[in-house]
Formats: sequence, C-alpha cells, structure tokens
Amino acid sequence: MTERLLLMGNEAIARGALEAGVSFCAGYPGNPSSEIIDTLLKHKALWPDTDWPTHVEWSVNEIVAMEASAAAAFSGLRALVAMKQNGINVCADFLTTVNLTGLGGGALVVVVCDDPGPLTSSNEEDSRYYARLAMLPLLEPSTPQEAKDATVYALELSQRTGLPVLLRSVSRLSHGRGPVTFAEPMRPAGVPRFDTSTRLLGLPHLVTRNHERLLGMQDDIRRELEVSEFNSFAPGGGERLLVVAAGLGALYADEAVREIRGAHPQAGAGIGILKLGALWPFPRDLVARHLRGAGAVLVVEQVEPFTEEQVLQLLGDADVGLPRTKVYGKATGHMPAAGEIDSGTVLRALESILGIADESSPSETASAQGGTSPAPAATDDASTRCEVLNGLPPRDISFCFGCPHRASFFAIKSALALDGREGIVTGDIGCYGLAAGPTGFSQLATLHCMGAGLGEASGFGVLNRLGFTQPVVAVAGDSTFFHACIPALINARWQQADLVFVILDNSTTAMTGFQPHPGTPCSPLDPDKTVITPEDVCRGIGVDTVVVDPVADVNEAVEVLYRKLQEGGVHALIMRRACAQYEKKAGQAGREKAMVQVEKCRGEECGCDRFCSRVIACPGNRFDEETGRAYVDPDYCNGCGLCVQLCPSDALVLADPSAAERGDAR
Amino acid sequence: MTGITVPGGGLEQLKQAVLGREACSACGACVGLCPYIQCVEDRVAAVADCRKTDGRCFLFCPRAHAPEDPPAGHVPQAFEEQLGPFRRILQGRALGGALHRGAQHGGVVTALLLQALRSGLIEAAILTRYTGGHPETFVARTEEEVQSAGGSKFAVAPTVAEVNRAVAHEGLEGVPLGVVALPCQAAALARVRKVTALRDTLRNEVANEGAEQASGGDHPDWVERPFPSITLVVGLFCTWALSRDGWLQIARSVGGDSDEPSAVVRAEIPPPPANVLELDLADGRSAQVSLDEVRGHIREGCRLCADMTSEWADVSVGLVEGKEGWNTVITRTEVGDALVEEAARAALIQAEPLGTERTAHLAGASSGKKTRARETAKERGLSLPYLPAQTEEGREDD
Repeated sequence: MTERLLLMGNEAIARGALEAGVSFCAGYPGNPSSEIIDTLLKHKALWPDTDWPTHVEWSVNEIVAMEASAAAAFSGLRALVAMKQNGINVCADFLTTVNLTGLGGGALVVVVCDDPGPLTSSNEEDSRYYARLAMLPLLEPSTPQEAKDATVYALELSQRTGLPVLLRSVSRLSHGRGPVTFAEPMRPAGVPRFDTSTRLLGLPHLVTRNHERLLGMQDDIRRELEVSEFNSFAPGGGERLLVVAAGLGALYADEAVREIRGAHPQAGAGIGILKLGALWPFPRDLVARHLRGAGAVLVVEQVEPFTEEQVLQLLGDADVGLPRTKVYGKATGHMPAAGEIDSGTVLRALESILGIADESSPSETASAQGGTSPAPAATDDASTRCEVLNGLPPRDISFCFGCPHRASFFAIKSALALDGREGIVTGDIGCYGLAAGPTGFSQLATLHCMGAGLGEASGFGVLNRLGFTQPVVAVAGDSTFFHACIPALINARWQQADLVFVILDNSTTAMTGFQPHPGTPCSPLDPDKTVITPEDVCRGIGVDTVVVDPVADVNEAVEVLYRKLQEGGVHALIMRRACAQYEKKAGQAGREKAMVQVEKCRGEECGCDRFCSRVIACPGNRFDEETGRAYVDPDYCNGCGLCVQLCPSDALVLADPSAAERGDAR
Repeated sequence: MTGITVPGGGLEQLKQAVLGREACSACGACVGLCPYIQCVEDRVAAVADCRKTDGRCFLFCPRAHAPEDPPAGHVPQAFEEQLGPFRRILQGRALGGALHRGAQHGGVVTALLLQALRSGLIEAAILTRYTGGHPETFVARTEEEVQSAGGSKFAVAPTVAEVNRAVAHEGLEGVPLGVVALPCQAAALARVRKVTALRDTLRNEVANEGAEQASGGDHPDWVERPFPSITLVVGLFCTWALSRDGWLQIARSVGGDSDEPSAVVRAEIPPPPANVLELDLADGRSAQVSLDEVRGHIREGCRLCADMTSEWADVSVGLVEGKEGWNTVITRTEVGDALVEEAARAALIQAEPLGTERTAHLAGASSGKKTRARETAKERGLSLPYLPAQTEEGREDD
C-alpha cells in the first residue's frame, strides 16, 4: 500500500534513508539539520519491527559522526551522516581523504543542510563547494518528495561508485513541508563485515594514484547525472531568457515566472527553466544544449554562484563553441550575493532583465509572499515594508525566562568588574552566544566556530609573556565541551596558559532541541547510558575544576570566578544548572514562582533603579508603571529564584501561586 | 522647603571620584546597599550602570569627601596636625580575664568591647576574625564571640559592608552597634554617622511639614532606607594593609608542606630595626618574612591613605613601640574617653599617660604616612578631596 504524507524535508530525508536500507545513521545537531537524526531516533519505535537492524546515534561531533558512518560503509553497510553547513568544515579533513580511498563496498550519504540568511549560524556558507573540492557527486533536491527520492538514489549511487555522495538541503527545504509518497522501508541486508584483504590507506605513495582514479571516475558519473531525473527542463517557447535554477531555486524561479506570465503574458512567454538537482560532476552537456539558442541566462541558486560559475565557464570554453550570451546572476547584481533568496528576489531580477521593473503590481504581490530577504535595490514595496517594520516595538533577543546563562553571565560580568583588569570573554555558538547582546550583559568579545573561544583563550592565555595583562575567560556549553573543546583545553594546559574556562552546563544540547550528549545525566532514550562528566575530563587533563550552581548562589559563582582569575594556570569552572526550558518540558520545574511583596517593594524610591526588570531583565520581571512597583508575570517565571536573591529590599519571594490563590479564596 | 543642603551623587559620581581611579580603600561603606556594587575579598566594583543621582554609596564614601570636622566643642592640642583631634593619649593594657590568647599587644580593644557590651553602650559588635586563613567580618553578640576576634589582621576585610548587610538583612537596624575599624573604615563610619544625622533632620522636617509634604517631596530616596545606629567606633592603628592576593602569597610562602593560608594563626610586626613580619603557624613553627617583600603586596588604595591612627574613631588603639604588652590608646570623643575611664574603673584595663617623648615619636610616624600618601597621589596625578594639601612645608598640591 502506498502512503502519501505531508513531511518536512528533513523527515523525508530520514524516510528515504529507511527506504534505501540504511543501517547506520549519525550526526551532530545543528539547525537546520537536526530533525533528520531526531526523526530516525524518535521513529525507531514505529519501525516495522523492534529488531530492525539500524544503528542511529547522536555523535560527539560531525567528524566523528562521519568517520563512524564511513566505518559502517567499510563493513558493507549503507550509512547516512547529517549535519549543518558548519559541520562539513569539521569533517573536511576526513572527507578529503576518504574520497581517495573509497568506501570499500558500502555506501555513505553526507547530508548537509545550509542556513542561508542565517537564522542560527555563525556563518553563511555554501557547502556545495565540498563536492568540487573532494570531487564527489552532489544532489540538491527542491521538494520533500525529491529529498526522499534523492536520498534513496544517493545511497545507491554511493554503493555503485564507492564514493561518498553529498546531498545538500537548505533551511526552507529542511523545514518546509510537502506531500511525500512512501515506498516500503527496506530491511538492511547482510551482516557487517570488514574484508581484511581491503586496505583503505591514505599513504603518500598511494595518493596520486587514487587521485587519478577519482578523476577518471568523474566523466562516468557526470554522464549518469546528465540524464538524471533530478534535472529537468520546462520550456517557455522561443527561449528569450533561460533560467538555470539549482535546488530550491527552481521552485522560486517557477513561482516568479508564473507571476510574470500572469502580469506580462508577452514578456513571460519566452522564459524557460532548466532545473538542476544533480549538480556535480556538473552536467555540462545538458546545460550547454539549453544554453545554445538562449537569448540570455539568469542563474538562480542559494548562497554562492556555484552553478553560475560553471555556466560562465561553459560559455567561455572554445571547445563547446557556444555563442556569446549574457549571464545574469550574482556577478551582475541581479541576484543577491549574500543572504537568502526567495521568489521575490527572482521576480525582481526577471523584471529588471525584461525591462518591466516599473510596473509594480506583481512585485508587491511577490514581496508580500517573499518574506524578509534583502532587495537588490530600494523599491516602493521595500519602503512600505520598512514602514510596517518601523511601527513594531523594538524587541531585543533574550535568553529565555529562568535561563541559567543569565545568572552565569551576570556572575562573569561581576567577577571581571571586580578583577578590574579589563578581562575578556571568548565564546562560541550556542544559546550562550546571545551573551554578545544585552541579555548576556554584552560579555562576549569573540564568537566564531564551536570551541573557538577556548582555543582563542589558550592563545590569549600565553600572551602575558609578551606583556598582555588582561585576564581571559573562555565560555562553552556542555555539548560544545565534548564536541570541540578538549584538544584546546589540553593545549592550554600544555602551554601553561593563564585562563578560566567556564563551562555553561545546562545538561542538554539546548539550542537545537535538547539532544543528549555524553554528559547528559539521563536520556529518556537510553536511561542506562554511560555518563561522562566534564569535570572528570577536565581533571583527567590536570585542570583544577570547581562546580557551582550560578542560579542557586550567584554570589558564590562571582567569588569562585574572581578567585580563579587571580591564580595563574588553567582553571575550569562548571556553572551547572539545567536548562529552564528543558526542565519545563520534562515537567521538572518547581511549582514555586517568584512574587513581589508589594508592601516591601519600594519601586522608584528604592535605590535599586529597577534592578530586577532593567538590569537582570528576565522576561518574567516587569515594572508596573501605574503602581510604580515591580511585579513578576507568573506565566514567564520558572521559579529559579535569581531575582529573589538579588533584590536589595528582600521584596521578592518564592511561593506557590496556586496555594496563594486558594489562600485568598478562603 | 528645607534649608539643609543635601549633597548629591550616585554610583556614576562614585566611579568617577574613587572606584575608577584605583583610590578605593575597600572599607565596604558602599557595599551591601544595592546590587550594583559588589565586593569580593578586598575588591569593590560597580557591576552595572545605575541611573540614580543620589545614593548612600556616594555619601558614605570617605574618599569622595573632605575630612570630617572635629567633634563639636573640641579643644585643639599639640600634635593634632599629625594625630587628628584627640582628648587624651594614653598607654594601657588589659587586665585579668579580659585577655585572650590571640590578643595582640595590650589586649585593650577586646577589653573596651567587653566594657561597652556590659554597660549597654553597644548590643552587638562588627568584628573581624581569621577563618580558614582569611579575615572574615562577623556580628559578635556575646563576650565569647568578642574574645574570638582578638589579634592583628594584616589583610583588608570590608567591615562596613558587614554593617550594611547586617542592618538590611539581619534586623540590626536600631540596635546600638560597636565597630572595630581600620582608619579608612573609621572615616567611613564617621560619614555614615554624619549622613544618619542628616537623615534624622530630613525625617523630622517631613514629620513637621505635615501630610502634604510627607510623600517624600524633594528628599532623596535614601532618607527612607535603613541606617545603622553606631554608638562606638574603636579605631585601630594601621600603617598599611595587604591585598588579599598578597596575603595569600605570603601565607603560602611560609606554609611549609601545607599550601593553605590557614597554616598562619598569628601575624605580627616587631618594632624596628627587625624589619620583618613574624608569623606563627598552626603546626607550632614560626616564620619571618622581610618587610621589604611584604610592602610589595600593599593594596594600591592603601598607598593613598594618610591616616595611621584612626583619626575619626571614638577611641583609637595601637601598639607602643618598644614596650611589649602595652597599647597606645587615643581617646577622641566624649564617648570614647568615658569608655576608657569606665574600663579602667572596672579593672578591665590599666591606663596611664603615654608621655611626650613617645607621643612625639608616634606623631612622627603618623606624619610619615601622610607624606607618603601625598607623594603617591602626586605621582599618580590624583587630586583627592579627603587628602588636603599640606601647606606648612610649602608643598603645593593643587
């Protein structure tokens, strides 16, 4: 029986893996990729039988996930590894060697979900260049259905070629939903076994030979992709303009062209769309065939001009012999070279190319649908949008109510102020990245990739030998600690750096949706799992380590950090308090909530200058302008007690509001 | 409505005048009043921006204001230029049961506190004792607790912060308090007493002006905040204090096998020409550290202090150079003078005049500290309100 369900792109990729008989799936969480492994883990119970022989794991980081998945492939199995665009950088070293040795019989699909116009990333990166760099096949689906089909095909292609195959998604595909037709899951065949006569060795004397072998495979794979079902052409009739659109860009192009055809039937008639979903090795014959005879070309794709460069190269290649043709795209400024694109940006590019930019009615329609991507030039609809946006009250991005990071960064700020040597805080991504802004008292001086804060601190920490006098505090979350901090911590200790490493341990991978990690005290998925604590690791490296609860006693956190800053060497300070949202989700948050005793709050006459609502600024702490007193919104309070501790008038208390209400009723 | 000038200033002014210039003595007067100023060990810092333009933090700070006036009706005497306003300069020592093993020199401070408790002058005292090798400030309410705090401390503890904390959170508002204070702390407590008197005046005005003005009117917000009732300040002599970090380093350097500063149970500087700090260790050993090395650890804020003898206390107590087992006792106010008299009458102490020669010697040492403070301020290019120019030697401090 064929089922048809509405799925997110990421769910469709997970489903595709099952239908292709995948045996091993691994990943490290990161938006927009997290739902792929989450889906496989959550749906494990729903799989055809409980002994379904597929291993799924959240690995400690992306390169370990890829290496572990490759090992499954080396053993003859089909494997999938998923990550966001930053993750592929972590894998780069392995990816650019395993491409040369090959997979030895199994299959490996590397799913990379890019985050254009980043919602939650520290970079804007086009992961497709890794396909070119490592000379690996690349697919870029445009719909959830295609995402599922491409995953199945990618695993088959990988097994046939012995090469990892890259599958690129973007946020809107990963998180957008579409109808997906199911096939039966395929029960993985065979028992994993590594053939000991196989050698997968990146030894120098083998590299050139393997490189040549890889180069030799490119044409065969390209010829297969030239006729791939993921590439297609929609003619416009007498191609005045050919739109070459990669991946999700094809949907935007299709929508924009329909819009043009509706509003300007004559101009719209001559636009054809060449959709590319099998992108590398570049299907040059297919593209060249369509370029011949096209009046002009517009290339539509997310982030970098990956396809555009190939089109330009084809046009410039004398052996191909194409006529001179104008190419519009990122190089000409018709498509944005940074930020996310949408149908509105494609529509504006088409209007500009076709000389119909002044007629604004379709443009307004498209921009209303098109979201928030930046327009190439100021237009009327853009200014209308600005007016609307200007009317909204300003809203700073904030830590959640009850978030322990608020207390931690207040402690860090206080300790550095007490120290008085202009200390700096180096950090990285994660919820605590918000500490770059007012909610974290603007403490972060640096924010790059995962673990970078500690590596940077290791460098700052030895500069005292060159006259540097500022103390340095590195921060990282608990999941990041395991992902990327351990070599840097060893380096810092080895180099005898002076630094304090604050591990902001909220006992989960909070930002990406509470995935477990090696230090998670208890995972609902695996209650018997091994727990590796950051303090054990730090102490094993010989780093003096103290654990505090920054919310329960913020003054203690300040004092401990201040004292550690006065001592030389590497110190770890674990600020441990469970994520407030996770506690709430798990039903572990207490019943008590902070409440202001109106008779004790002195309001504006207090010397505190609205400390709770203005300085600590938890979303639950408010100031009532009418009564001139502070209050706590019970819907935005998890009863952490931070504000209770810091109120100078002892006006805040923790109480059970339901009990208080019952008391009132009596 | 009021003829009284209320001096203005908040955290910003305090930062500009003191905290931001490394001129803070860590007396603790601004700590514990609000969450904006935090204190760890001997460091005091503003941790967030406060928009208030008048606050006790600024008003209490002895380093943001000119020195206090002598007590009303005070009759000046010789040596006051160097030693501050006083009534009598004595030498004394504790007798019998007032003494405690840890008491330093004459044990007079402990004896005076016992007398103050017994007479009801005070009901609690804010004192400092060593805990785990670090000075710790605490509230003493019994004679045993008072006796547990005997002995000199060589590192700063923010005593006045404990006064603020105890008044705000431990119900000590209105309880007559005694404080054993270093010179900077005694100066701070003089500010606290002065602002308390001003508060009383302003409150009385509100009461007299009736309901229409009673909502606060032009009065600053702090008028309604809790204030301590300080009835006795026993000042200590202080040449300098060490930073906590410096004290830790010294204590560790003599700690032998133990890395803990708690290894030190008693510290003392014997009279010249020894030039050493003597330390008694928990394991029964003694150790000496050169004063030249010790002076390298003096707090920056202490190098700007011009007060050796706690000039703004009720009674000041220090050692008598060259006379083991005796204290110098300077009575400065009526309260302090009467307390010494009562303690002598109760046979808790023995007291007699110090004598002109020793007084002159003490004045010389005190004068030296004033000169060093002015030189430090000049080197650092600081003009500080509490440190007026010394004119008699033709020095120019503008």
